[in-house]
Amino acid sequence: MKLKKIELKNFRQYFGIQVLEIANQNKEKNITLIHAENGVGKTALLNSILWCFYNQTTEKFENKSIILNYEAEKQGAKDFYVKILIEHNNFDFEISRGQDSLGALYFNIHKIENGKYIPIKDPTVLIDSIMPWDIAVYFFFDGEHAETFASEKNKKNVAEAIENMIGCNVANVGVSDLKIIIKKYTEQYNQLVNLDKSGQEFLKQFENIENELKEKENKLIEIKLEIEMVVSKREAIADSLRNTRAAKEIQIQRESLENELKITKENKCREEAEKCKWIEEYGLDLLARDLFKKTIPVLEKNKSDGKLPGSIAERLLKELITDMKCICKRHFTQDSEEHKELLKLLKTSNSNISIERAYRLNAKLPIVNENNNKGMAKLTNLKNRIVDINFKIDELESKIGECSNKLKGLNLEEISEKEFKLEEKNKELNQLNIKLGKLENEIIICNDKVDKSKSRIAHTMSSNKEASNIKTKIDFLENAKKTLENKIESYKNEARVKIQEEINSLLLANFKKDFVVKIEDNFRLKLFNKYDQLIGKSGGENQLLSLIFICALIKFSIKKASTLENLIVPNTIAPLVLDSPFGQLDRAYSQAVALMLPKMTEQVLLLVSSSQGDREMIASLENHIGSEFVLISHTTGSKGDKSNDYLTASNGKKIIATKYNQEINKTILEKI
Amino acid sequence: MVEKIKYLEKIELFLKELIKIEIEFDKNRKNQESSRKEEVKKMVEKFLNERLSDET
Repeated sequence: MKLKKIELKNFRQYFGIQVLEIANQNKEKNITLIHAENGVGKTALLNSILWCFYNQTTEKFENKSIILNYEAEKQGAKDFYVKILIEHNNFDFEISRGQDSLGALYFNIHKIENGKYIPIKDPTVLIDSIMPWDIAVYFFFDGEHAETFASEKNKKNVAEAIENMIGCNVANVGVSDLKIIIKKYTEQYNQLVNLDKSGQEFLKQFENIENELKEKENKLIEIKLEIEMVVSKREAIADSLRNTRAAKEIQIQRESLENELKITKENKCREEAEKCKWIEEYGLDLLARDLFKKTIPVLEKNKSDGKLPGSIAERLLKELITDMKCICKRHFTQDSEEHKELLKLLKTSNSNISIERAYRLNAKLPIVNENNNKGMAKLTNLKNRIVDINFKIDELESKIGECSNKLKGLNLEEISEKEFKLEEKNKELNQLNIKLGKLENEIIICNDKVDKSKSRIAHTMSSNKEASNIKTKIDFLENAKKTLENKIESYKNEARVKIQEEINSLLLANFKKDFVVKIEDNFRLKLFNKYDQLIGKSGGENQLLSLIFICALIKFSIKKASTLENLIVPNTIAPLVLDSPFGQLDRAYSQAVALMLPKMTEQVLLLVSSSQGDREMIASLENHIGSEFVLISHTTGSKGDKSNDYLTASNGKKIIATKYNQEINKTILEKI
Repeated sequence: MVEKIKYLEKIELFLKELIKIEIEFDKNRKNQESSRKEEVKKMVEKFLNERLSDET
């Protein structure tokens, strides 16, 4: 099936008639790209297709029941519609759903043959044959919620997707039909057995064993369900722990860093104390050294000038001044010339003590110098150690800061609690598995009893031709059912392996990390690193995996279509409509998806917002864009101080996304 | 051995016919459970009566 044209009238944001022509001719240019800001009508466009085909919308489409455009309603209009022109099996069909001007809802499909519109009797049947609803969700794809398929919680979705896409559903219906028919034949057979006396007795025994078996089988289902619930709870805990475990490691790292910081700070205190001790020990020497530095040159100079030791003794001068007598015994008066001269000489005279001191000082100089050198060496070491410690403190504090930033918003007590719960779930699971094993053994024994009992009945009834005839039929149908079940199982296994291979080759080409996906027996999609360790997925990775999963499914379906088996329904090859597939993806992943998109299927309708449609991503698609549109918002509001918002087309052209001061609020489709 | 192969061939043939009907119903998506079941039942009965006659 191919989409050719979508025409909307008064559908949600779209006022009046808006037409979207979809690229459908060139296999290389198979992308129809639609740019829009958020809230303008991208999701409404995706939903217009779902609504027209199935009268359904995506789960998160708000106010589903309100279809008529608000402005149109204000103007008194009642009519709205979505018309989609498709090509299917070399014929064009126009599908239209809507409400006429009188308020009556309608849904019809016309086959277009030589320009004539021939109405299709049962449009729902045709839609179902073109693309059943259960498959449509995988083609008309809301990217913002795409992670649904790869999320741990959605193994049921994955299983359903695989079974639907690979076409097992029909064979499954065949199995259930066979079960009903076998039951009917068994009832007929048992009626005949009941007519025979010993047969009746054996049948009673058989029914008892069968009831026992049924009970056990029901119990088995219960245990399996219980196991599934425990496993999913355990998975949920393990999943949250996978993220929080990393946080715990960071916490351990932070604690060890904090410990190291504490020790380092204690070391710093010790070094500071050493500094005080050093001052005590070498402070005087340092002071002495400074004094010596100033005194020694003066002493040395005086010595060389002959001033040291001084020529006149202090004691003699003092005696002469006290007696007021000159050395020649002549008297002099106070303040006389002689008196002044003697006072002047007294200043430069030296006492024995000072001379002695000067000599002692001179003798101590080498010791002071030695102490000083020692002290200075110690001080340099001390200083270097303190610098190193300060540097280490800075480094530790910055690392602790980094850890704290990573841990912001995480509750570590909760993590321990989760670890504890996980342990409990593991124990619970072990107990359940023991129970399951025991029950499975009991069922084997019971089945054996059932077979023996059946043989006894068959032997007893062997002379009854009618009963034997029915028994042969029952056996045949049982064998056929088993064969079909085995075929479905082996086909599903084959599909799982091939899809897994496809996913992994796509991952290798598009994923920036070295990851491998495994689809488990229960169709759970799990991501492993190169060391075969299970790893959690981020929102973006889940989204990318979902897209890759869909891509792998489509590829598998296309390949399978060419080697169609009898028991499988032919595959649906449909256009892929992707609304915001880049929502949670970072730039590298967005580009990977962009490269993958043109190869996914024959036709791709891609709806992107300006935040997702950045130049590089669009550039990777450029050679594959067959048709390009923008959704422009018309608003009655005034622009005010708001800056213009632009959408950038693949050719670099900038288009104003919002037009202000318009007559009415509406969204229009504009071709680039 | 030959009997067994013949029996398996019959099962294969039977399943092909069964699936053919199921596919036909799926294609048309008649969604009429009762008519589908009736048709399958008829086919099964016809097959069993015709093909299993030699064994009964």
